[in-house]
Amino acid sequence: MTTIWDPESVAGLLRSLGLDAVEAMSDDLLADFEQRALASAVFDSALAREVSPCNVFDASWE
Amino acid sequence: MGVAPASAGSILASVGRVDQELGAMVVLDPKGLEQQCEGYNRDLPLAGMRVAVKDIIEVEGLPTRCGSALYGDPPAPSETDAVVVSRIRQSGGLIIGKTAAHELACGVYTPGTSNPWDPYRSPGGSSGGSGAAVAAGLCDAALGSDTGGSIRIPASLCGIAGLKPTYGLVPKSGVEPLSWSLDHVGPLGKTVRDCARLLKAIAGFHPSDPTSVTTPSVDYLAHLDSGVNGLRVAVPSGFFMDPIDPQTQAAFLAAVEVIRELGAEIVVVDVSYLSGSLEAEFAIVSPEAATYHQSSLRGSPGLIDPQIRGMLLAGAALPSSYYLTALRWRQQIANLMRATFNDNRLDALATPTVPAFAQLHDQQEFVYPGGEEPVISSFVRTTAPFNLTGQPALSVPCGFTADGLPLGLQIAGRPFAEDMVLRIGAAYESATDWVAHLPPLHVANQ
Repeated sequence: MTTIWDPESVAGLLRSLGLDAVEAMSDDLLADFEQRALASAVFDSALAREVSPCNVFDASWE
Repeated sequence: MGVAPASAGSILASVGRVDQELGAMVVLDPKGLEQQCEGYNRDLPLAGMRVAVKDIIEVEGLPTRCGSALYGDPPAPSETDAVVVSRIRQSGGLIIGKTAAHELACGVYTPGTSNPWDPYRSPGGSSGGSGAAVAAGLCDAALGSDTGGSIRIPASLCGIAGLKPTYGLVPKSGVEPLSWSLDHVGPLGKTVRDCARLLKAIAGFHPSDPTSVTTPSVDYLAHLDSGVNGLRVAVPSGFFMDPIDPQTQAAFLAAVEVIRELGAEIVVVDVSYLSGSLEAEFAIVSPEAATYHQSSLRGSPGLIDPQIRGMLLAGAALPSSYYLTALRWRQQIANLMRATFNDNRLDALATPTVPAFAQLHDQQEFVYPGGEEPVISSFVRTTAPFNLTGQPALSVPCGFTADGLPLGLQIAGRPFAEDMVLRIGAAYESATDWVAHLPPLHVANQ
């Protein structure tokens, strides 16, 4: 799941989004991508199937 | 009700003297303050209360910088007040000026601002200027914003009270967003009562904010002195203390004992399901912030701090499935938190606000008995869960380290039960004398 986050693919992805004015990929940025990918995988494995994304603008418990 | 204000000049002179060392204020408003002093009405609920405003919130006639070079040099002055500022003026509060914020409201340091208890340390962030200004007596209360702890972290580090209200209770029109679904606006005050007074003025539906909700009008002052006898207050068996600084843990446990002695029933609950909150918080903040700032990311990336820019880039490019997975996680912990409150018939959950105390300006990590943790992770780990669930959460002072640095107690309640968390906070505050302590850098010491 995390293997796609090599410097070239991240840089290519950012360029495709028009974010090509940024500096060369730093280790920190790559680590950030890796970390988020890992977290998402952990969440996915621990979530009950029936849980839908929350209504982000409703904090009530009704 | 209120105290007749001195002249605008004398109010701002005392602010200026202390703030030379503190760096809490980014702009003062002598002209606006003069007009407000002339219109003083002692019968209004906030009459004479000096209020500072975090510099991501619009104040008519003043620029909004958000701690960032992106907003121009100098930025154009705002043409109108944010809804919350307008409501404070209508209630008789005196807006003295704007306070420093960590860049784009995205950080826990607020560079350039010192902690009134120790100038070598940070006031926290991102509402660090608001926390420092209240603690140093530059104002009676302040407005802050809280996306992952940005009101409660400075409140804890500066030894004052700070409340993140329920999501949707306080309208955000005229407030620069960081993360639409996690941003909250709320009060910081020297005392819990100050927070309650300010909340009463700013809470309530406004049609200009689509996330604003209609709720029954509540008098947040009415039950402040009702005590905690018979209430059920939970403490977590773990998570908030894994890891934690020993002095902070001791102060927290002592605070819980005070609440027990005041008559509350203390219940231990398992909230280990909150692990992952930090990751979920960043998985939601990053794409929402990146979306809001995408034109700046494309056109002026060099004007954004590299660390914040990295977070925004990650948010811009990560798959949408990551965002949606985090939103599912958010729903799951909200469900579990509701069950914790209902199954245990809880009125509140008490935790340490943050697991440590004010960091040095250049300090990046805390070293705990259980290991090291980055400063930002430490702070956001214990505050962000309530941004994700949307519950109200209050920080009140609960002691000092051996070096005289403040510590905070966090009290979280059911959605829209601000009156309950304020009531518990006020009872605890009245039973202790922490609020009587003043920092070395304070207008009273000048």
